[in-house]
Amino acid sequence: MFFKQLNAVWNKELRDALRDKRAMKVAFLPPIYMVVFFALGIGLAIHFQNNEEQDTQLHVAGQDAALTAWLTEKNIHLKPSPDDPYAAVEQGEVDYVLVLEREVATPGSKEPRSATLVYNASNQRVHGPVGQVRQLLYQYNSMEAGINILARGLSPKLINPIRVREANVASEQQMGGLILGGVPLLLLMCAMMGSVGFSADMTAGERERQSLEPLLINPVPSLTLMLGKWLAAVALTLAVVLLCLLLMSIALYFLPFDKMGLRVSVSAGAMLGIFVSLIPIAAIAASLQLLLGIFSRSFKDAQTYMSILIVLPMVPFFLVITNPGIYQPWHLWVPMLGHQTVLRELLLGQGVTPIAFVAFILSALPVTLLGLWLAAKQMRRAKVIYG
Amino acid sequence: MIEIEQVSKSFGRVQALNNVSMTIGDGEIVGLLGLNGAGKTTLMRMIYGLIAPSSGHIRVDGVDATMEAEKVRQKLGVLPDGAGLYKRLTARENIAYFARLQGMSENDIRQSSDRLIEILRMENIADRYSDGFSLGERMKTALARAIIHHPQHVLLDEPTNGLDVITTRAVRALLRQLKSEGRSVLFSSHLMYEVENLCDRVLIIAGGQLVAGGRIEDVLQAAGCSSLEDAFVTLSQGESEHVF
Repeated sequence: MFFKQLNAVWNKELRDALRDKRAMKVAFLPPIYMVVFFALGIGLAIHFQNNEEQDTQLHVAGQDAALTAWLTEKNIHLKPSPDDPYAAVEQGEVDYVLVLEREVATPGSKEPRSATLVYNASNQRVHGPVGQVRQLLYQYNSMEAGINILARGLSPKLINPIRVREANVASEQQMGGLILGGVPLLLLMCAMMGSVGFSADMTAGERERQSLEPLLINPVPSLTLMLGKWLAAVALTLAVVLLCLLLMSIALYFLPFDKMGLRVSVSAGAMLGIFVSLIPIAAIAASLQLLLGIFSRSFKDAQTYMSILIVLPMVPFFLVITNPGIYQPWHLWVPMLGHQTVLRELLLGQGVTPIAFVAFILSALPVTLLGLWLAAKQMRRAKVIYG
Repeated sequence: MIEIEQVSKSFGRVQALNNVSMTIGDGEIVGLLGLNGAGKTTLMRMIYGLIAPSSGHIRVDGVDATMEAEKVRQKLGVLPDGAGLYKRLTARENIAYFARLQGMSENDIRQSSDRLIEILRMENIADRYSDGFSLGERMKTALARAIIHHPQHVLLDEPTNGLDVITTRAVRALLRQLKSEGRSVLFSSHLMYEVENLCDRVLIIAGGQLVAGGRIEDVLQAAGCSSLEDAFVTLSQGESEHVF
């Protein structure tokens, strides 16, 4: 009898949902535009980064043939400066200018020459290129000093007691991970919000159209009713998640990550892993949606209450994105916190411990069951039926 | 048999029902009369166990409606006050959904709904989404949905609301047939001729109390009136005088 009734409820809810054009749109359109905006954003980021790396432009006033020749050699694109470099920078006509000596130095002179970098520090755009030019100037400085000291029979090492080097240890895939940090968030939001419209209709909708009372007059335990509704909501959420994953795979395949020197390739196995780890999230989401929905008098109320749920995946996202080394094994047991790390690792083609999946399922169980039990209890209250 | 024993119900300070007792026997059609807010709907809701009485007992075939509500609901077919349909399901699907929840087999569902669709003249709406239904069409669907599973006891809250004459007659015929099958019917109504035509007994509730009950002739005689309407008005307004 239990399975017969459960079957009846979830079949009916699924059929009802598939015929609900409004809720179908609310469910299946967001993944499409979320992925499109994501792809556009990443595409633009790659585009800009490429342009920046290609040429740094430098307006130069004054003369210093040796320095300018060396800068050109270092891929700096030199341009003549406006007449009054200070005013030009102040007024924003140019971002920064390198002001050198006006007169050509007499060959062989060892007098120090001045080189002034004129920029406006409040202009966010200049920090990258100005830093690069500054770095090159120091380099040139120490190079010429080395030559001078060599001419006097001393080792150039003397003037560079400390040799400063920088080594960026981020691997290509990890750099990709930084850019892909938003993908887990996007997928979690899909799983969290996929069936909001349907859940609202199954709970607040029943109240609104006064079908809850006749429904409850049937000899069906309210937990069976909730379970049937929950199954339908989970199935619909997983359909939304599947669409989201499919679109995301296409986007990741076509985005020109190689131009950035990144290797992003997500295997079918990794996608399957991602899908499986999102199932517990769908379970939690459907349960919480139904619980919030049964408290709501109308469909609109329900949607308002349920919008709170979108915040849940954002908390771990900001936590992890601002503290990259924060991961601890116990995170796996906190729904969505562990997902942030595990989904990212799967996207980067790294192996994931199978314990993660066990942890996801086991940690989702109590939340899901508690939500369903509370919702079922609520449903029979006279205030809910007749309120 | 439905037995109601000294049932009272209060919502906060409002006393909705006060010490009401009655029985509805098998093979009997009983009309429940009362002004708006008299407590008819509250009484019905307590029988199908969605509201618990503050005191007293309700038993359906000996089963307590509060303690074993689920068991009681298996015996009942109810057309409640607000009987909403699922607007994206057809009339037939709406009926079948509740039949499945009652545990009927697909074969029984088909036969039973075909029969009800014929009796209630629903052929033209049976396979339409209930979204655009008129009040009468909604009522017919909800009524069919309520009695699809051949319940032993049928509770109807104003079942002929919004029905046209022909359908009203069909509903009356249906109720008489239920009676002849030995089932009990309790229905509330505002329409005196409806009650006069159909009921074996009437119960009149006023101010949360049962003020009269019995065969129509008895009620008329007790109230000293010649028409049920006069008797009803007299009894509903003079609450102090109890007539049985």
